[in-house]
Amino acid sequence: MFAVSARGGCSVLTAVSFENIKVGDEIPSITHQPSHIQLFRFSAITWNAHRIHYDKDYAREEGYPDIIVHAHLYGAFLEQMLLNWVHPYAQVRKLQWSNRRYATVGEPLTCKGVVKSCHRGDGEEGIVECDIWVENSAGEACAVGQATLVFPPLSEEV
Amino acid sequence: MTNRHVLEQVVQRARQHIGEKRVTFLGEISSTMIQRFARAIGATNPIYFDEQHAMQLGYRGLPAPAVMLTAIRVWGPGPEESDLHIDGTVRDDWLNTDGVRRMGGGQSLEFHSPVVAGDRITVTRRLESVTMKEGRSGPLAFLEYVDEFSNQDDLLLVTCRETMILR
Repeated sequence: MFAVSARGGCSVLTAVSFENIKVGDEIPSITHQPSHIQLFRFSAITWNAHRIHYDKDYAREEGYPDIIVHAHLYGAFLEQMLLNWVHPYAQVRKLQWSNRRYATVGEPLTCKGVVKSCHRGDGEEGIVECDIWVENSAGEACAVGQATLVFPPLSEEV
Repeated sequence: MTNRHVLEQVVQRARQHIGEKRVTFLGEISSTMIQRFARAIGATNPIYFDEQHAMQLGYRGLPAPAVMLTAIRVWGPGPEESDLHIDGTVRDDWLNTDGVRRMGGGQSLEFHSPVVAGDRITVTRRLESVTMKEGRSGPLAFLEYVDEFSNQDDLLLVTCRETMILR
């Protein structure tokens, strides 16, 4: 919600605003290490009975070394990374990702992102477009995508 | 390895459904569902756990993580176990994909308005395109769906384009 920036050697706490985001900025990353319990609870709440997410023997039959992380969990992690960065100052308007590589239970997964463009929309709202991705500990992309964030027009800022 | 012929038959059947629309009432979103989903994804933002706090920030009620609607695989009780695929996935009564493996290819989501507890959700699904490609280990088919989720007041909440990969 707040970003720490260094000015003249002393740190000040500033709210994230459209004006202080620029192309090339990195989104503060987050790392999750999905456990068996997390995968179980995610399967349960989404009523997803796909055996590759909880049945190791079955996952091996499909060629995976262990049970695998739900692709929708990648999306959930990416959304939370974006919210950690800009909520409640901006809304996530678009979130897109493509699955590139499976991740098995217990693998550390890091969500990252970088700002690709910033511009004002027709209603003077601030539009920030970002590349976002999820990578494993080897730095290989498990999911890659884009997000669009919208800041309210200056007159309506939170 | 999936038999090429089986995949081609699935693709041929799927193509007959391109452009069709199917409207389905999914159910009501409860605060328990939202909070369990938030727990399951490791979300710590207080908006999912404190309705008053969320409403002070301008939400209509207790909001759900925006990806929740499209992450839920089955709404309501779902089929009997004996009616599931052997891998535990649900048979699509619209499109028979028996005999091929299904993988989620990813989603493209547009969030129009936050989903909140108490919303009664309807989805309109359309099969937009069906394409076949040669992958490294054999043929792949890509089915692109567009789902529009709205609530009881016809408020559009989320548009989702989802690609299902068959192999």
